[in-house]
Amino acid sequence: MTSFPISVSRGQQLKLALVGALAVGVLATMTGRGTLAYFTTQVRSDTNTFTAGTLQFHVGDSDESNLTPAVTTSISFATMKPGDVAYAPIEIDNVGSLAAKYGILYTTTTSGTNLAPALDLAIVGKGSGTGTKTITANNATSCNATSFASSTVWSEQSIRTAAPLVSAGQTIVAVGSSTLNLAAVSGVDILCMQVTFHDHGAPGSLTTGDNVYNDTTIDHTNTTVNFVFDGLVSAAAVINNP
Amino acid sequence: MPGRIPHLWGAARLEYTAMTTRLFFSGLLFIGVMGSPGPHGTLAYLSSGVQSTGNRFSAGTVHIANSLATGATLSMANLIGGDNFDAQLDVANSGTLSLIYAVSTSLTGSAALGSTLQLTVRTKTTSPCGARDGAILYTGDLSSAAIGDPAHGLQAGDRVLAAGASESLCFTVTLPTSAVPSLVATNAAATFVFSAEQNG
Repeated sequence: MTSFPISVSRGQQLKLALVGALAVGVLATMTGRGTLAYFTTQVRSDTNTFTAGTLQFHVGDSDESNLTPAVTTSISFATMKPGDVAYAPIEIDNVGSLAAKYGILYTTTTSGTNLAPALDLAIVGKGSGTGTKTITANNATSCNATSFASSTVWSEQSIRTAAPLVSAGQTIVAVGSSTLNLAAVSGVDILCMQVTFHDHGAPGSLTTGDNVYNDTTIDHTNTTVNFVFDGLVSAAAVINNP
Repeated sequence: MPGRIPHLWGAARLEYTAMTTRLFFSGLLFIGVMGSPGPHGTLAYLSSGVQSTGNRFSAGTVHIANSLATGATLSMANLIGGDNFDAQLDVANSGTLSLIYAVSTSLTGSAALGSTLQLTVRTKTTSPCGARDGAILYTGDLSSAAIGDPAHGLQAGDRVLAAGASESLCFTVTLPTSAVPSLVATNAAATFVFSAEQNG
């Protein structure tokens, strides 16, 4: 065999290398071409719906019902004297779709001398949604001196035992730790508020004892109490669908 | 040449340092997130609230006031046996609460004159006090004059006045003709005290 020496320049060597590489790539592509054909199938789980629940309260009293965000003048007394007691029902409705619990706090304001320290506030309740949806005559009339202390009528006797109102306001039941529960949609609790002008002692003079509140100006010693009922969902839910 | 990054110089080394810093802070942030309270979901909640507003309480007032009717006087000088006079005294409840009141008397001066002078207190009718036709509330010695009882609570004889109401009383003072001569030139002053309290 006779060999012929071939002289290839460096540039020609580079071209040959590129052409060789291209040829290898094309051959490799052609080799696997048959695997591009295949069957497919698919199933789905549709309509997995997630809806936010609602938490909304309505409130009612003896002459207003199903209101939000507030009722007015649920309980009032224009010319109180020591020994006087006022009773009034307030209804809390849960019209939202979530079970909830609620807390109670109040604030006071005055246009003159604050009467709050002279007043005791006590609260009892029907309890855990066992009340009637709307304050009826029966509910309203059971919020009185005769029934107030009855645990049969008012199962929640310990919401607040009689204690002086604080001029600066006060949280009676913190919503975070509250056990005042309301079922979803139609949960209702009826509270009975009792406000008493308590005794400050027999007057030793025209300005001592109970006479501290016998103002020289009519209607100057007064307080306006605003009750706030804050709601909170009872607990976060975790649903495991089997 | 630094030992751990022998191939990095200039801008490349600055970039390396910056990346190291970013990684460090990223690491801190990650640790911080992972270190937050476990039951993270409990921080999310819905809330609602309603109010009962305008619950107003105001103290009533118990105020009593008295005044002599125009032109009337309860003073009389130079009395002689058989003298008498009438005077109208108006009593008003200027407070916002119903009240009950009683009247008591304190006397200064001649006790003998005070026990000799006779006082009659009547309710006033539509007639002037001089008619002396009203219901008698007290009759007897001036020094002992009293209507009702100022002790706490509603006592026999106490007068009741509704809030804002008033009534008129007629006072008749008489020096009996039987007054003894030793009372000459004596004098006495009576103070009528109206004590009121809340009714109920």
